[in-house]
Amino acid sequence: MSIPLFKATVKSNWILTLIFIVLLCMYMGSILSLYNPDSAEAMEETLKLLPPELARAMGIGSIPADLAGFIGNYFYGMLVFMIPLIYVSIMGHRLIAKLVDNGSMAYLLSTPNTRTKIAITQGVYFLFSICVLFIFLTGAAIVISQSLYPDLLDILSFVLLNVCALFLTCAISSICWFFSCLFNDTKNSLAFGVGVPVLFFMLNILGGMKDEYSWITSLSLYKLFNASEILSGSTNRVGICAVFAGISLCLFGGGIYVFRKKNLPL
Amino acid sequence: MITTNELTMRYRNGKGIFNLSFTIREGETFGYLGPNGAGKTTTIRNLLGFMKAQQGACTINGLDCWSQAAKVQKNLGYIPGEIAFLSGMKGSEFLRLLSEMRSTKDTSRQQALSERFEIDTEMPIRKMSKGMKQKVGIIAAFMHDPAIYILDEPTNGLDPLMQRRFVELILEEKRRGKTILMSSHMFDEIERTCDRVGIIRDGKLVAVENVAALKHTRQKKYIVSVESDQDVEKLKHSGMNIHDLGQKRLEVMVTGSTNAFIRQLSTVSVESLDVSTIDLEKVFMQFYGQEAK
Repeated sequence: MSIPLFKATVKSNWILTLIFIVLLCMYMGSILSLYNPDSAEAMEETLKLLPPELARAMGIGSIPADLAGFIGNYFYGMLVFMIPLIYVSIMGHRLIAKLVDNGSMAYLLSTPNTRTKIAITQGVYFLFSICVLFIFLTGAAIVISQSLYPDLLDILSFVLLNVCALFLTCAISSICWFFSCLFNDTKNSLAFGVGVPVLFFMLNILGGMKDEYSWITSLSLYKLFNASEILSGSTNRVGICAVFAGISLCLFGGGIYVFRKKNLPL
Repeated sequence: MITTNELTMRYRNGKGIFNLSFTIREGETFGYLGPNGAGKTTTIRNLLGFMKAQQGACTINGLDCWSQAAKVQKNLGYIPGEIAFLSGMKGSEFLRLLSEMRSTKDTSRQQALSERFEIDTEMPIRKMSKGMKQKVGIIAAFMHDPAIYILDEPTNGLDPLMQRRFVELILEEKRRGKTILMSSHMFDEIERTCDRVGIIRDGKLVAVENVAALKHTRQKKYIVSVESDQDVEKLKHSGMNIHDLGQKRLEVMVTGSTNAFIRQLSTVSVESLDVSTIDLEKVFMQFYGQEAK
């Protein structure tokens, strides 16, 4: 890893990361403000007004009793997929393919640093920024809920939920990363880097709409992440994280390998 | 110092470079010429380790350009044909980044070069003109004092004064024993700096020649405007290589000594005389007695 390059990468990308941190925290804040510990039943009533297909597609399944469950349902049903998805597809593209497409990669490679070293530096920023995203999100959620509803949040399960979401986002980011390394032009890098994760996302929504379609969900990477199961501990959290980590490792490594071997039009 | 050996790289559209072999000796300045799309940049991409040829290999200083690219870069200064910098940086920040990535601490050369090319690097790169970006590119290639330079149309976008300064810089580096590969469209630049010239067409190296020999047979082209039609006729029958442009304007090709041409001109009344530059490739092909396609 090249420290000077890492600093430069931080400098030219931190604003984008910050925007998404703010966005995620704002959504989290507004969801939290909706929670009313005394009238969970009233909430339930309101939800019944929604068509059941819509509610399911949005990932709102069973009605949660406690605060963690509430956040799990409303934030970790869909928003936690959607906003980081936008972030990782933009960032993945910016870190490699964009530099190749506009030619500035030539300058990075005209220094005595190997391609592997440069790619690893960019990849480290990618994963590092995703971690920062989730640390701020988790921190903000805990601070806000503690100040609004003292001691109502099951902090441990909530943190574990976020760890799983972090691993999920890393796995999605590795898809964007791989295509960013594979393609030399903006067009393909974005088409596949955004397209494949969005496809997973759509499959997840589609499969959630009706029971007959639920098999579709199993084609989606997002299926592995079920907030209420993770919160209740009825699923193997370590196993899920291991799968996500495995995917990330393969695709990040694969991307770097491809980038090292390919011809660059610089 | 720089060697390509049977380098072959075919693109999907059939273009590329084919069996390219040449050697540039240590301390030599080599001009690399050819029309657009002939394969100059492809050769340079191979030398920089951006691409791996399907056959053959190239080495710089005995190091393989593909597998040991990072080591090669340590002693290499490179100006890309199309300069693109990282977005959102000042010129000085970009240069600092490169220095840090090369682990060079001394910034005196960078400052000297900035003064020499009269550029204020404390400006965001996206606000710079093409010429200014080119200057930053030149500083980036020269500031770490490498032993070898690979320059792809280095004076692209520079004004004549800066082009002259660049030529001076090349001559200085040459005196200091540097090895230089330079592609260019300007005959002047090549003529003043290079020892040898190689010309590439359709991916094949068609000729390599000493610049001194080239200079000797170089043709010059003059555009003469004369006062009367009689003058036109007179010059036409003088045995010189003349092409009538109409409206009493004549194009005269002069090879070797200019004396005879001046003497002929003195017999007519000349309204104006312009020197016109000849396309470098044409000059080169004349030397070989071939018609440029």
